[in-house]
Amino acid sequence: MSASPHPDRRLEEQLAQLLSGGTWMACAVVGAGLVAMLGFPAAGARLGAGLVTAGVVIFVLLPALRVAWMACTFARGRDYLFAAVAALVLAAIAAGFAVGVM
Amino acid sequence: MPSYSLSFDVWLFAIALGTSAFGGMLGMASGIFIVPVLTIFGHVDIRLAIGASIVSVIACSCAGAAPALRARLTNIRLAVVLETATTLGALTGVLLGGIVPARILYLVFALILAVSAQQMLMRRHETPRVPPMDHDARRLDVDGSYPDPALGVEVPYGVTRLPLGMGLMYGAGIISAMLGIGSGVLKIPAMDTALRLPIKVSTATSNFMIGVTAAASGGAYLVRGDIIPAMAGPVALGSVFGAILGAHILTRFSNKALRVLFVAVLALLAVEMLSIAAGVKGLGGGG
Repeated sequence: MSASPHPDRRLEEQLAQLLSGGTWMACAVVGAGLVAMLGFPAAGARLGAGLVTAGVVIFVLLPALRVAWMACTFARGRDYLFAAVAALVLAAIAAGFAVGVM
Repeated sequence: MPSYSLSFDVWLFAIALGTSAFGGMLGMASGIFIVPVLTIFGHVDIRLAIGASIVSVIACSCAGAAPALRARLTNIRLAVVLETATTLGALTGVLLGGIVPARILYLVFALILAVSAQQMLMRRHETPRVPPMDHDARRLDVDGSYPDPALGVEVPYGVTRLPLGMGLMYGAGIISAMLGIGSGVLKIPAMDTALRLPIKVSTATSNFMIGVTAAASGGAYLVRGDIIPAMAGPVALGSVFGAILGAHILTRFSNKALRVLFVAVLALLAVEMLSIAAGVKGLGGGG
């Protein structure tokens, strides 16, 4: 069982990279925005606010991206049951955005 | 966009950093502190505080996921199955949160703080393991194994009572969305006792799921305008750095003294939130 690498091992490493990379990117974008807003109140306010918003949006979308990646990986591995389960989760997240409009 | 002053942004960042470091020292997420602190001390409207908090919950879940995945403690298959229930719960929570009065949100929050305090007093213990491939979860192939460095072996485990676990996860999703917390306080007991996962696996898997659960409500709050980036940004940034800081200073303090302090803070915040719910103190907001 432990002799042959489990097919999920590769996926786990990819998800780790996606989540840590995404977190640092969002942090950097929010951080840059705050520096612009606070350091240059006159000139940087608009740009800063835009960057902070972009960073927050990256944070909110990151888990959805993770689920989408899982759905694709399961589908590629012909694990259709789990691809469908992941797609269902993705649909629920999408429904969240739709509920917000209501 | 409302104008937030420099000092308020710095205050938000500092508060998030501090509470997250404090939570991180006991391996607990800080989400539960952010809403009470923002409403009680920052006089922020509770719905905006929930919006800011949910972003920091996502940030901390994503930041903490990588080490647990690399240590092979996260059961990603089980997570995605349970996420169908947590995200559905989150959608319900968004709808419920939109119609209940703010006082009810304060009341539910006080209850969850009290439950957290009680849980912090009791230690988690391993439930008897079931052998893999021996029960109803078999068809879904969610059983797993994790490496135990102390024993130097791969420990297999089975997942039991999946339907009960799913039901509890649905409830955890509702609470997470309504209050803007990760709801680990409800997810972890569900995994420990209903699904009978090893503690390390349930902690890692719960944290992995928290981000996705929070994204379902986060999307709704973002579109609805309850997430104000100028407020959520500094809080998220402070929370991530605070969690890292907390994990580093973890070993420097006596665990027992820290637990007592933690319980006291949770109880104090519960009383404050309760007094706002009861109308003894005014609602936050207008800021």
